[in-house]
Amino acid sequence: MKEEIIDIEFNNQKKDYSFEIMSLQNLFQRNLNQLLSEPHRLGFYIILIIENGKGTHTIDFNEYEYSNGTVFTIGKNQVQKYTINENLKAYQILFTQDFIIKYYDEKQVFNSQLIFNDAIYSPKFQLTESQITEIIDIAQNLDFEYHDTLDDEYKSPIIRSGLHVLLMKLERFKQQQVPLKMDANYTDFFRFKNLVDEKCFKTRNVSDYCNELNINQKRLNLLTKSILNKTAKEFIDDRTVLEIKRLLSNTNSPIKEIAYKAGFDEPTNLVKYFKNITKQSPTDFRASLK
Amino acid sequence: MTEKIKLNSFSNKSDLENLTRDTKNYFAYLLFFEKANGVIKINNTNAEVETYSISSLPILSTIDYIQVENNVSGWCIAFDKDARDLLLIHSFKLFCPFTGIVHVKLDKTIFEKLISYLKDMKLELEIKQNEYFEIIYLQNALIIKHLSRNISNSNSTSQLKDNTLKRFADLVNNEFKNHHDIDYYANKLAITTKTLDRIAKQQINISPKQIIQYRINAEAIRLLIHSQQNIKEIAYELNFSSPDYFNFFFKKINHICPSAYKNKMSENLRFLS
Repeated sequence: MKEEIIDIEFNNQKKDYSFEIMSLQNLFQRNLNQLLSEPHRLGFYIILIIENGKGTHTIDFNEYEYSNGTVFTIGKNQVQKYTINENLKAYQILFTQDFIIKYYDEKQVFNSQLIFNDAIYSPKFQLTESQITEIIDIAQNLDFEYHDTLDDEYKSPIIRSGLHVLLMKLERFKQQQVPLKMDANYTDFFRFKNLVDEKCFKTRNVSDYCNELNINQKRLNLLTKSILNKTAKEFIDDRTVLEIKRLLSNTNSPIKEIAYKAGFDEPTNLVKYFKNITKQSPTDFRASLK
Repeated sequence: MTEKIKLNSFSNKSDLENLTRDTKNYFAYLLFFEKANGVIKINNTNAEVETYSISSLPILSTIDYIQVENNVSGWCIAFDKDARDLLLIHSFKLFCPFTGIVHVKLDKTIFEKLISYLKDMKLELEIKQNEYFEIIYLQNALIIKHLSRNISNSNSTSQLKDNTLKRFADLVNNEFKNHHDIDYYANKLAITTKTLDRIAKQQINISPKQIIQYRINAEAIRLLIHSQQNIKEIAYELNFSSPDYFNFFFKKINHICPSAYKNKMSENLRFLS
């Protein structure tokens, strides 16, 4: 049986900024490699900016290749795993949800945007050479400010503004690659997405969601079809399976327990459901993570 | 329509004079001198400008003359009223007429860092139809935060040379919420209101009453933009006898009533705090 996968919570020795920036080389030298190369679930947000190097990074059980100028945006509760590469030149920026809620309009950062939107967009995107210099510039300034010994009332505001500029620039660069349509459809879709994230262990019934959102099934299906090319039911199932996968990797609990937690009457139902969608049994999935 | 924020570089004296001439559309200016040697006289106060120095021109200031060598070069940011208001929270030291025009001499490294931010901002401003105007505000906020951090008594000259006036400004800064009347401050300084009036008029050509009103107004702007309080609450927090009177006061200075102002400014601008 696989040993329990650790939840990594934000832990910063340096005051309570709820923010940290470090180079990956630095991180790999902290004797955490054992932990880092296992899948772990994040209690915070990560932006990973690859300046120079090649390798792979695993997010939510998908392996992504990276090269110079790749950026990963990994959200809270996603499961990731590093591939240790000591020669990698990269910046990693961490911050908590509190940091976002406290200082920015959370809706603005998380609902309407392309980055940290794992339901629709890939967590990975590639920057051009000039874009990566721009981003690295900001990261360097943040790094300098964060590690500077000077500690006054301006430190935290400067970091906040810097991070915000970084987030907005990333958003812009991603938007140049992935067209974003902001219309009424999207607002409805995000309401649906949030509701699914919240309730997928309670109900996987499309009509329940329709009732709650006050839209009819036909329209909901049109919405998901136009945005994701999936039916509403498929979307709900995808999210549910992802959550189950996260539970499987995240805890050591028996499948039975997970089945009840995920709202199935019988463990066999979960196994069938899981197998139907992923073509793999939960036990196999767990074993494959090892 | 004029731009809210205008950023230009200058490379000789007449450039500089042209850039700072538009006091109708632009409320406040920041001048960054990359290379300079001379004197600038603003609101009757002389200050030396030199290489790596920065001058802030708050509202109500007039440049009497600029006397610098012709090879002066640097950057000039102009803010219109809205932009100035939004950035006021970070920049009280810089944009307040009664702390006066501030001239700061900076280290080369810090100055160059600010210039690199300015260059980023220039690039950003050149993108037409910018949907991300927030970035420009944020970049400005960054510059101003860095600048405020580096203003200290040792490297800056303020317009306020007179000690009584300095004490008055400090007092206002601490007590403006509870005391709106000049009598109170004059009493505390142990002078008559008449004397206070005369000193202020002489030194900075603004009446003490204007200084108090300006401070209250700045706080009102800050609360309207950045707090969740409603207008009634703000009125009472600033110790107005009634919300109506607050409305009247605000409208007189800003030519717009508080609620309309709040609507105009508070579109997603909480991030600037």
